[in-house]
Amino acid sequence: MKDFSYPVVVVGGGPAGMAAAISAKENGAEKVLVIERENRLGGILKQCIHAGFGLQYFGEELSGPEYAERFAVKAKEAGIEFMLDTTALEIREQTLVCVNTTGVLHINFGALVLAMGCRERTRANLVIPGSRAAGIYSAGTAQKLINIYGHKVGKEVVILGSGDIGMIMARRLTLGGAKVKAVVEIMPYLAGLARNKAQCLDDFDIPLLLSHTVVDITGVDRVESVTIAPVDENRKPIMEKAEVIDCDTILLSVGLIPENELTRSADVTLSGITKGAVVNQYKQTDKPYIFACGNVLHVNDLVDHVSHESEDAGKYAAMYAAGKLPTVDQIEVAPGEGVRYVCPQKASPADMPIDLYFRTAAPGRNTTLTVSDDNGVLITKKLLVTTPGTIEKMTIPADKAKNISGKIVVTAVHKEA
Amino acid sequence: MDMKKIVICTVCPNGCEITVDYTTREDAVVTGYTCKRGIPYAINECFEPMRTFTSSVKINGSDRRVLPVKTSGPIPKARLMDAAEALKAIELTVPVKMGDVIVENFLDTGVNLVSAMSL
Amino acid sequence: MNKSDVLIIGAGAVGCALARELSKYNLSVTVVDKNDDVGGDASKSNSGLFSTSATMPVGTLECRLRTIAHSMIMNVCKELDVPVIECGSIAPILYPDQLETAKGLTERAFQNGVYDYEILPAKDILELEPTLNPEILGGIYSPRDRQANQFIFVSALAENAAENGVEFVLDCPVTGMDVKDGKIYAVHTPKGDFSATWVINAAGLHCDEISDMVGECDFKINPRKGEFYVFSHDTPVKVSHIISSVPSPKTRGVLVIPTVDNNMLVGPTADDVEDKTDVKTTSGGLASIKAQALNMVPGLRFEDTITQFVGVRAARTPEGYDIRFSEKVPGFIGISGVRSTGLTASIGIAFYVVHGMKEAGLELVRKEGWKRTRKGIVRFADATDAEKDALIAENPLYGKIVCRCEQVTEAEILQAINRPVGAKTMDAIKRRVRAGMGRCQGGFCGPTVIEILARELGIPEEEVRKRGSKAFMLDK
Repeated sequence: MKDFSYPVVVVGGGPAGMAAAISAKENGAEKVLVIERENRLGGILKQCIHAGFGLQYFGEELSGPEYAERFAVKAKEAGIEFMLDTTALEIREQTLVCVNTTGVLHINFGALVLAMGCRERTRANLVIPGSRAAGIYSAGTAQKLINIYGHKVGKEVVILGSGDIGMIMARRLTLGGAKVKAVVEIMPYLAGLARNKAQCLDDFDIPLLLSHTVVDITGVDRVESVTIAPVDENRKPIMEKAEVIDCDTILLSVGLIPENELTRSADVTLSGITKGAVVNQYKQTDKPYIFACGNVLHVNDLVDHVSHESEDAGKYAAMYAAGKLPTVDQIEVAPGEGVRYVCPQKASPADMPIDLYFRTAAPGRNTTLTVSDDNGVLITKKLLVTTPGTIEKMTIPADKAKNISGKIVVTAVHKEA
Repeated sequence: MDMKKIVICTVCPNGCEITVDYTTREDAVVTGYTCKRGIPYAINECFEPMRTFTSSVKINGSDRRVLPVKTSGPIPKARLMDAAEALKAIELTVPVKMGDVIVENFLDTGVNLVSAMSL
Repeated sequence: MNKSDVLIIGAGAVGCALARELSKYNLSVTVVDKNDDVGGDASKSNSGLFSTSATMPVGTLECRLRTIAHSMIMNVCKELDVPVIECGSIAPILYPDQLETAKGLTERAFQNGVYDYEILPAKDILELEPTLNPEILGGIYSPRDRQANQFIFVSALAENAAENGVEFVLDCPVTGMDVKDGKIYAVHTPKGDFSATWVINAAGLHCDEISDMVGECDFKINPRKGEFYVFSHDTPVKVSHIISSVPSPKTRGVLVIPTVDNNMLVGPTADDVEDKTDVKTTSGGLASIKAQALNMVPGLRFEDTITQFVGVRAARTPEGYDIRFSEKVPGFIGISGVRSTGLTASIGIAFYVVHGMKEAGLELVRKEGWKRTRKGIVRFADATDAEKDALIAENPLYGKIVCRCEQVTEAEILQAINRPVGAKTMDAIKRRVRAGMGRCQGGFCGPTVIEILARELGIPEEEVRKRGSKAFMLDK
């Protein structure tokens, strides 16, 4: 066993991990180490070769690899240390157990930032019936096969779920010569961003079937067809209206789940809704030396949010390692009417702004977003359109943040559905 | 006005629904945008929609078998399939730097095809 | 023409147990199977139980062979490095009408020599298994029911047999036979003809088709489909005993099974189907399992399922094991009617058949240097830090995690491919070392496993299959 010691260690060299590491260094951590299981930095952005990243963070539209490379260059310049091809196995108190081809590594840390990202929900999670044929991929796996390996996954494709990766893969497959026959979504509204429907589906006349689901898959070896049916208001398929679509490939874009197995080994409390750690405004978990950011904390819509959020995590991790992070009583931050979740789930009064990230429960128009505590309304914001696919962000300014008390509740009230 | 088109703006992730009432490019009336960048975008959508093209080309000498590429600016939407076809003939070898021009004046669109990654 | 002393048709539990048993002697033995991997059909897709004969029909061949096998199985698993859990089983009694049935079952267990099969009061049962429905009236406790990874068991038998000289020819369906005047002249396959002094039909689900080729089929095999859920390691409510149901009009034999791999199994259904290849899961079947299992173990969290699968069992009409040394075609041995009990009974069947061959005149000369033991692939995930360091020092690829969910290393995947009777497909790797068996179901490691498999087999990645010979992963 080899032993190492760092004030701040970051697990994951994707956008969250890189932003956290740079920020930790800028905020005083003397040595920062990033553990990355792959052979290159960038995480999932390496395979997201489409554009649409960085409009908020860099003020220009970048592709995923470009966004990642900018951070990687910055991280190297900042003197961050990296261990690539190294997998974190377990957290034992303030030691991270890792492995690579040189052996088992015990890395002691002052503060640990978790930035492992997320995984895709699978067919099994949804209990989709039918054959177990080859040709059923999650959208992200297909994306990796195509954009990193240069493979082709199929000729005639049906995509289940209207998540962003699914829609982006619909365009990618079409440009690669495949025929995307339909994108099928069980909910009555789009799961991903409207812009992706416009530029990935509408541009190529790919039909989007809302309120539909897959009820059967046939094919002994490779997929041969998929049967879809409209669903009623209880999301139960109406079998009389089922329809068979011939295809050799099915992609699933049915949601992402924070990848928190390492977090569990540290016995950190997780949220049943976000499936990420329960944190306060410092991105600090209930194990005070562990912080979390990016998609391992809650699944984000935009990498730009991830970068900002992770910079906070890195900064506060560095402060914790230096013994400078204030510890005060925490109050609950909870979703109220029309809100599915809020991250962070806890906050303590502090003389600095508190960022709240949240998702609404259902789409709507002319929406009023309100943050209040026991003393009344703290801030409000009005939006023309809100959808659960978009993360909303509101900031409690410092002058109000220092007096918060009781319980913070975030609500979203739509004037129109 | 003879024509009416509803455009989902893709300039930023907000995805605003913008309405354009128009007969010609000059007399177009644009409503429903939340920022000014939406106006030229929405008008363009009615006459010559433009898209940034992203894809990948074969590369030798790296564990990554394809290199991500993009156009340095938007190209006409109608040329996206031509662009995809044109990439099949390209094969590169490392090293490549992010931003390196791979094809100048790609398909006579006036923009270049550039590398989106250093390998 | 591939000539051998013994040709075994079918590489399921029975075929592989026979292969290992025969490998003890100076005989040339060949096993053919239509699949790309050993494990057959029913043998690889079931609940992995090594149960006692408690509830078997008294005095039948099936009961006898399983009782004998059950007493030997722990030793065989030790020799072959197959992990087994001795979890015992509990059949909760939920309805008054099950009480009488339960009493009858204990009587039968006594007759079958299973004396430690007892009815316990609800309090004792709930103490043993607190996850059970607190409303139970009592339950039957049977401490010697065990669970193993059925595929590891079958492939261990095959590997050991192969190491002792048995030849396995896979992807090799038997398509017909030349039979004349009570002699099999040739067994046809797409890989050429085979001939042997002894031809053993261990084709399980397809044994009727093989028996038909020699004109010996006076029975029917009815495919019976069983659907299962597999649960994630980290689901909060896990049983520590095999939970089975006491037969009643309201129960249909659903089990909740703790497994050696720490993935709970819940199932199966039992639906008679026409098609032996029907491995489709159904909404109805899965919903019915869920309802029944929740009735016994109310806390099960079905949202933690990581996959669902179907196993097709070979139900025989008329029922029961049938092991027949043909009189019309001397040298042909037909084995049929081996159902789920066969995973355990396979060991007994092997001894029984080989003894019968001896009786019929086969001279059995013990092979010099026969290897009794086999070592399994050392699992990185189960090792201590020090053991991990030692593994990596010896083979650095043990430090390269490919499947992050199950912490499977490249070293393990290479062994799965390169061992005797190794893996040739994605599913075959998954069955051996669990790469792709975790919560992401191969989403992350799939592309890497395709790469490794292609490299090791010397084929283009486009030729890599999920299973079989036509289920290609990629498009050409």
